[in-house]
Amino acid sequence: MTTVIKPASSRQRVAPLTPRLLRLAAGARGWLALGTAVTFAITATHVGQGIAIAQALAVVFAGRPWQGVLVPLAVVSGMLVTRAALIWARELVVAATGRAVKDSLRRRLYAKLFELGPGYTAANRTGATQATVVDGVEKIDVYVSRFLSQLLGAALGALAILAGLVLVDPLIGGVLFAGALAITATPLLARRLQAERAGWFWGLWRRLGADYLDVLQGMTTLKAFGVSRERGRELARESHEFYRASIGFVAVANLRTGAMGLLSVAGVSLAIGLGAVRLAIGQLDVLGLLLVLLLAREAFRPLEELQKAYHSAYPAISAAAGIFELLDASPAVTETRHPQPPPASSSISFDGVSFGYRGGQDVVSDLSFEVEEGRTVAIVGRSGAGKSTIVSLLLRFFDPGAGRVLLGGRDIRELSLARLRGLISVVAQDTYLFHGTVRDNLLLGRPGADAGQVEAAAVAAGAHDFITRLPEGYDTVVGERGATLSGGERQRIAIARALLKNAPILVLDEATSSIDSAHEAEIQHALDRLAAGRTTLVIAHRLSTVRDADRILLLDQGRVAAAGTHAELLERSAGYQRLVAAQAVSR
Amino acid sequence: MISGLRPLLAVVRPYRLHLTGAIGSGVLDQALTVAIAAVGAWVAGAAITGAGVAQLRPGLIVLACLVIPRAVLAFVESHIAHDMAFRILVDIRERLYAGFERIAPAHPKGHRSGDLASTVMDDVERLEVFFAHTLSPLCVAVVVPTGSVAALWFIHPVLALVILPIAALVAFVPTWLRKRATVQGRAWRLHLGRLNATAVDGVQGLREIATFGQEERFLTRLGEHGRDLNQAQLAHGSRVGVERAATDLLIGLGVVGVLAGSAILVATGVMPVALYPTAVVLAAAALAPVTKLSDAARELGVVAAAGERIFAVVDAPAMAPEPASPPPLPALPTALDVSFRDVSFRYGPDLPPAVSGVTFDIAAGETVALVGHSGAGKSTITNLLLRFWDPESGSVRIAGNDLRDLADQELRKLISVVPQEIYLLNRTVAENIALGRPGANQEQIETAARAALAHDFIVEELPDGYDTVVGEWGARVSGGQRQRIAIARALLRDAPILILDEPVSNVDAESERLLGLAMARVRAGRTTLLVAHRLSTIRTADRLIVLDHGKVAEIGTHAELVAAGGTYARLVRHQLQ
Ligand SMILES: Nc1ncnc2c1ncn2[C@@H]1O[C@H](COP(=O)(O)OP(=O)(O)OP(=O)(O)O)[C@@H](O)[C@H]1O
Ligand SMILES: Nc1ncnc2c1ncn2[C@@H]1O[C@H](COP(=O)(O)OP(=O)(O)OP(=O)(O)O)[C@@H](O)[C@H]1O
Ligand SMILES: [Mg+2]
Ligand SMILES: [Mg+2]
Repeated sequence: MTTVIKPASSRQRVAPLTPRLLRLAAGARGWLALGTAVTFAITATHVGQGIAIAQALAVVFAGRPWQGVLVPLAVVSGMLVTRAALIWARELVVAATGRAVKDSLRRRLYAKLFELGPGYTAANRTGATQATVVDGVEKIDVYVSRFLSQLLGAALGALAILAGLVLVDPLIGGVLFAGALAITATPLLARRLQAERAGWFWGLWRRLGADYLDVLQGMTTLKAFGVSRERGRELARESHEFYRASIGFVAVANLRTGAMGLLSVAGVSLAIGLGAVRLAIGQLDVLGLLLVLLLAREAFRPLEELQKAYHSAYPAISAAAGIFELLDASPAVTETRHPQPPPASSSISFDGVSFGYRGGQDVVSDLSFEVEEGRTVAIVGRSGAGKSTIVSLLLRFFDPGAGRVLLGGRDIRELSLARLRGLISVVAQDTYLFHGTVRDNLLLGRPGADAGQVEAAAVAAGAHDFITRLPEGYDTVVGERGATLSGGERQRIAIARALLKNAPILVLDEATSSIDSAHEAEIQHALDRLAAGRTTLVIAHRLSTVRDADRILLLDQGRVAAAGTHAELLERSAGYQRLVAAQAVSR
Repeated sequence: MISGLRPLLAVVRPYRLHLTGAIGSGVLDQALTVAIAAVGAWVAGAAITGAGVAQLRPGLIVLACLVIPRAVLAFVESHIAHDMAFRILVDIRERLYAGFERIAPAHPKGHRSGDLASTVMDDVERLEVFFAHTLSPLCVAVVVPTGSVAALWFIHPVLALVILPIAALVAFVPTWLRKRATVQGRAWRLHLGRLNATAVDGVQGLREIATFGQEERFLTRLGEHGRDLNQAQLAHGSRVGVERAATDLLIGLGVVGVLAGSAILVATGVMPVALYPTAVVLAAAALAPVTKLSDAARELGVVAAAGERIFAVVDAPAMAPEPASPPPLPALPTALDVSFRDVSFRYGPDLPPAVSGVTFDIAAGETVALVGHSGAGKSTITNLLLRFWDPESGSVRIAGNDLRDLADQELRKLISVVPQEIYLLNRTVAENIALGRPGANQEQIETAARAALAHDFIVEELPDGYDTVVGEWGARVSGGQRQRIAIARALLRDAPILILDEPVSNVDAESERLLGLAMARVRAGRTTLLVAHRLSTIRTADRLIVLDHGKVAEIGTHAELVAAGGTYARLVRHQLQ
């Protein structure tokens, strides 16, 4: 668990200003332009203020009456007020820039995630994905709205001041110019180190987040087994590792900030000293020295601020790697470019289908079977035989490696995904309920359903009674994954939700495994009624649930070992006989 | 806002040394900065008033000597402050973990795991502003300006009097809109937490979203959360902008005031003209540390809100508080009996009782099946036996010891469980099984897997055998495989009490039968509480306890209860046909 994440390991390395990174900001182009303008204007007010103050000082040094400073001071005050307004405006522009970037990016990431499908989410860590789509996007926001929007304005501002100072005195201007160049070059200092450390930091951030999410969701189990302390210690170690990454990252930044501070203070001091000496030997006038005194600092100020923004935006560059990784992931299934209209019939047929989750090992191989429209086919077989996999293939979460899945005679790859899935009602083997009210969860099946329809579905699923007993009935909020309900209650909500969807194909994967037999019988009746006239695929271990199916397939090692009605199989299939015997014995 | 910060101060205490170092180097750093600016200005002033190069030399030398120490000190200050901050964050994350541990499996109202994960990551990270950028700047902002003002006073008291109120005003800018800052901070953290929770829901519920074609609706919801967050950030940004503008304006006014004041002083001959630039620069320098402080203080609303969220978890009371000084557990027999005495419990004060007046005994070594309709309270009873919650009234005892008198670790050692909802960590099969007994060797793991009928599929069907990573929640193995891994885990634990909550609901009939036989062996000599719906499983028990709506309806053997024709007979009627 204490394996060190290789700094920015195999992941693609992203430079601070790649075109792709810049494209993420494309939606905020207008705001960026405005931000640039405002930044530039702020620098301009600093310059104006400096010049006016220099003039005021010159008045005093010239020994003219003190009233002479009034005009320059009025100018300074004007600059101050203007700048106050600009500073406020800049914060608003920053926020608006962020908004323009974030919403669309997050939407794009989730749309991609949906395209990648359950296969991707099962193989990746939720916490890492969460870090990418929430924190990663927030980081990109900082990068765009704080760094990019300042970049040009600051550079231009600094350049303008330096040019002005060159006009005042070429030598001093030259020294300051060199200083500014050196400051601009500080990011090149330890650039590799910075990239590595930022990658280390972000990699650990993602992992720590994922690990915390993991223990948060599994805490009950950890507690029950008395290993929660131990896991806590492991996490503390990891969190300590993250501390090292954090301070490592900040140390590089500090080093550069330090170098920059040194350059800027040294540059300014040198400029002033030079100015003083040149004045003493008569090569500079008083106003010139005062301008140097007051503006030299201003030339460096935007650059320093830019540096600060660069530092806080840096993790975005690592985060962007995660974002691009997600955007570049290739989905298990791709939507057809020319979707066909939905088929007239709802028969299902698997035609020589082979499929494996992890390369090499087939879970189903050369599987062929057919469910005629309106018929009920049951699939039985050992646990791990590939029954649920068949459901995933039918829903096109994965595409078979060989063979075809047909719906109404049409290859499901020719249908649009939304269409295909709209034709199928599923009660999955494990129930996922969303955080929200019972009603929201039911409405998932049919968003437009009215209260009567919702209730009817709940009644049919044997759920209405317990729902009405909940403190707020249908409006009770069920916790994450339905944690505040009992196992059987959750499953009944899942059934009701599928019933409400009312699609021509019904798939029941162990739909009543956690429900007591009295309820089960009741629900079974409702399901039978519903199955009438629908193409139905039932997966069950209890033979009582499948006995009445039109046909039963015995699945073994990913193939159909035997098929027929209950009676036929009892006669013909040794495997089926064994299965039935097992239940009879254990009765 | 301040109340949100108070607990943060307590966390710093162990790091006094760090803090002292940061403050010390911070003060020196800022003092040198002021000195450099002042000396520079002095040199310029002297030159303007006609000093020759020779007279300027000492000033120039001092200037050259100050530059490098200042840069070093700035680095040191920042490094120490950050080192302290990040160390403290480690501590806080540890305390948060302890909080999570304490409250599980109860979920504090409205807290979802994505939200809590956002607390332990984002909220904690936010505190960095406080520890690294507020504490030592606060002290620096008191010390250094005092010195600068004193120097100004030395030049001329009037100047000090001009700058003093300005410095005070700048320091207090962040307090003007404090209420608003607090509200905005809370909104920001709240919406970020929600966004995180929804993000997790969207990832883990992806299959449901896809099968029900809810992509668009989900995106809309996500968009709403995103907009709420943006709104909060915009409000925050707007206030920050106002405060920043006000600070900048005040400082400018301070400089103008000193400028005008010293102009008059010079014109009236009270102040030597050579000190003029120095006075102006000192005025600006006096204000710089105050600005730095108020830069950080502007973020305190968010920091306080993050702190509130963190300490809400850290300080959350346990559902079942551990006894302060648990009496040492007497030597227990190898087989333990369990008794529930008039136990009532509800999950929340406004919820109906989940179980009420439950009384039963399980003799040492006996297997008792808990049966009843779905929602009857079976899993609740297992939760009470595991002491995830304490009963509202009545008592639960193991071998005569009230659970409330046992240390958590001791209690958990006595019990092994296959919960109804199985959670597998996103680790290898072997690691998941070994959770039952940390440090178990491969042979023990395999023995347990064999007993749970899991060994064969693990080596034959999983690509990397025992080293196959099972995915979050065991998403990359089949339902029945997951259950058998969980059974193996429970068997490896080898505890005197075994709780099985529908352990085989997703296992095929043949495996179920074989498992039944295997479990019968395992259960020998152990006290077992078995929750089941299927007769095939129920009948392996010695005795049945029938629950009906949270109450014990009947107790007896299968044959007795069927003959009695009561609740149980009705419950299993369909299976008897
Ligand atoms: N997402 C996945 N990634 C990798 N392997 C998987 C995944 N889902 C299932 N498997 C593997 O594929 C095989 C078939 O699994 P499937 O879920 O189809 O079994 P099943 O017949 O439904 O079993 P059960 O009756 O236990 O639910 C199993 O060996 C399982 O470990
Ligand atoms: N965490 C919780 N918060 C609030 N209510 C809960 C919580 N867990 C369970 N309940 C409620 O308590 C009652 C008993 O639930 P319990 O899980 O004990 O039922 P069960 O007998 O195990 O049912 P099943 O056979 O369906 O698993 C149910 O009505 C359920 O809605
Ligand atoms: Mg399955
Ligand atoms: Mg239960």
